[in-house]
Amino acid sequence: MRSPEAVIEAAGLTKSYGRRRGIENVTFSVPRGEIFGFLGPNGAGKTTTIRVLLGFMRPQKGGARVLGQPPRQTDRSRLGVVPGELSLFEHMTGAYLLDYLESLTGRPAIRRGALIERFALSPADLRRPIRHYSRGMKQKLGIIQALQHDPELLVMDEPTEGLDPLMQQEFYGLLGELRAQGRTVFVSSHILYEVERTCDRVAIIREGRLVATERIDDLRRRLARRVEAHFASAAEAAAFAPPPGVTEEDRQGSHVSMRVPLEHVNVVVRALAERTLTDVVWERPSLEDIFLAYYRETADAR
Amino acid sequence: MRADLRRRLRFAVRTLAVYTVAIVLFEYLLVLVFDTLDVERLQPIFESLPRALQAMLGADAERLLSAQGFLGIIFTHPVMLVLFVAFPIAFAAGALAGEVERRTIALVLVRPITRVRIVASAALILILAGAVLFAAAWGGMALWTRLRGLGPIDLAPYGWAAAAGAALCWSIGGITLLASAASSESGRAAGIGTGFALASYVANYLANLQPDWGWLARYSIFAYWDPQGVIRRGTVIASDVGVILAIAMISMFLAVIVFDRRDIAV
Repeated sequence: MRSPEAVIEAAGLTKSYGRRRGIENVTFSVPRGEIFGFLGPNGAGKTTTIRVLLGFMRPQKGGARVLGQPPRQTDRSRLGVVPGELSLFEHMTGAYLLDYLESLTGRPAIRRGALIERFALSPADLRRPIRHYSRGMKQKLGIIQALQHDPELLVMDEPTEGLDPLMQQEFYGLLGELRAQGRTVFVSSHILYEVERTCDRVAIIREGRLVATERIDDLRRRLARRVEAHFASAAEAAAFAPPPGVTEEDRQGSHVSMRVPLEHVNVVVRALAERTLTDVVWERPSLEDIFLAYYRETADAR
Repeated sequence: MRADLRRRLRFAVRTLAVYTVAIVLFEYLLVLVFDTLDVERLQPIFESLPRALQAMLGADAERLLSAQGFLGIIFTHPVMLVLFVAFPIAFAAGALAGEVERRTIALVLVRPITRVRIVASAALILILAGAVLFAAAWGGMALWTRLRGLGPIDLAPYGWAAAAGAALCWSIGGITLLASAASSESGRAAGIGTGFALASYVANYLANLQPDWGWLARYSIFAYWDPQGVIRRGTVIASDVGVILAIAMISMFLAVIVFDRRDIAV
């Protein structure tokens, strides 16, 4: 199970809540310096996996190591966490909360000033009790408290929940900088765009089980391209038959759309070249396509 | 741990101060009541007090007519009892289960502080709170009796009763802390703490009311406190205080173990 470069290692994690499903045999590892996305719809097991990794829960089977140690023994001063469904001490002021969490962490908050500036929190904001904060301001504070001590590993559960689009962009920029600085980030999300934009590798979890753990580019490579061919006339389109192995999705007048596995690209190009075309659009699969494909596959398999 | 202790203390101090002031003010009322009593005219009335009321006050009519006996009511009056136990129950319920319920515990658990220390800092505040509440009760009584010129009153037995009262506060707080360690809802933990205190009080009351129900006293933590008995004797019964302290220590120790071992779904 152990590999020297892995910052997070999970092997066969299994946790159930009585009759309710939790996670089953979840295995993956996150090497140092990687931004790792953990994808799944609500209730798929993302939060349970994080709870086990952070030592909030003990798995019934399997084990995990975080920063080289079992979760409960990890040096948590090297860890930064944005919990899911973030809840802060409402009676504290923002400044008091950050000071308090800095004291608990035992490491100086060397990044606090820059983060406060970046996420546009004013000194007046920080002097107000958190109960008067908007949802977005609370989320900003949640991100700042996780990063203020410059942790080696960041674990974030739905980190952009409640942030406005501008602040989301700031956050994505920040993740890019963390990657450049060699920090490791484990980010759980159901926002596919966010994961696609920020992560090097993803794990897809469905009904408590991992169905894929790969680089997004590798997943893309495995998935068929969507090709839209616009022929010069309806007759030209009618004369075109997709080669074997290619799935026709739609045909309307002079327009044909199909799914083309990578191994059939040349055959399709040759077949299209025999016709008169006005346009051809090749779409790389998005993470959403990949995600939906995995979910369709699993549903079909049942 | 110091940071967590400071945080808990900072936000407990205000509430604790309110309870402390309420205790001292209520004592002033009791001192005022005794100061204005016409003992000779009230003697027959006190002697005709129903046994149920005497059981509640924890003293017989004869003792209630002396300042030393009457002022013992500060430890047995239902309002005072509520003021003594409300804070430990509310604080202990909120300290663990309340933070799990509000999910704020996640911010603490992901930092280098063990669960043992989280419970220990809550237990330390409870111990401090019990000491403060009963020190205020003793100090308030000393202050008001001195200012009103009541006497002679031997304050030492009140000090013993207050010390045993602090132990009672720790026990009830400890039981609530144990419930809080096991639960994810502060309301449930507070309910268990309140239920324990109430059942214990009722058992002691019934035991004092009817000799046939005397056996109930064995199962009541209030029977081991018996402040009027302490004031009458001038000192505590060590074994009784030992029972109260043992309940406090065992419950707090179990709270540490339970909280350390449980799953926390935040």
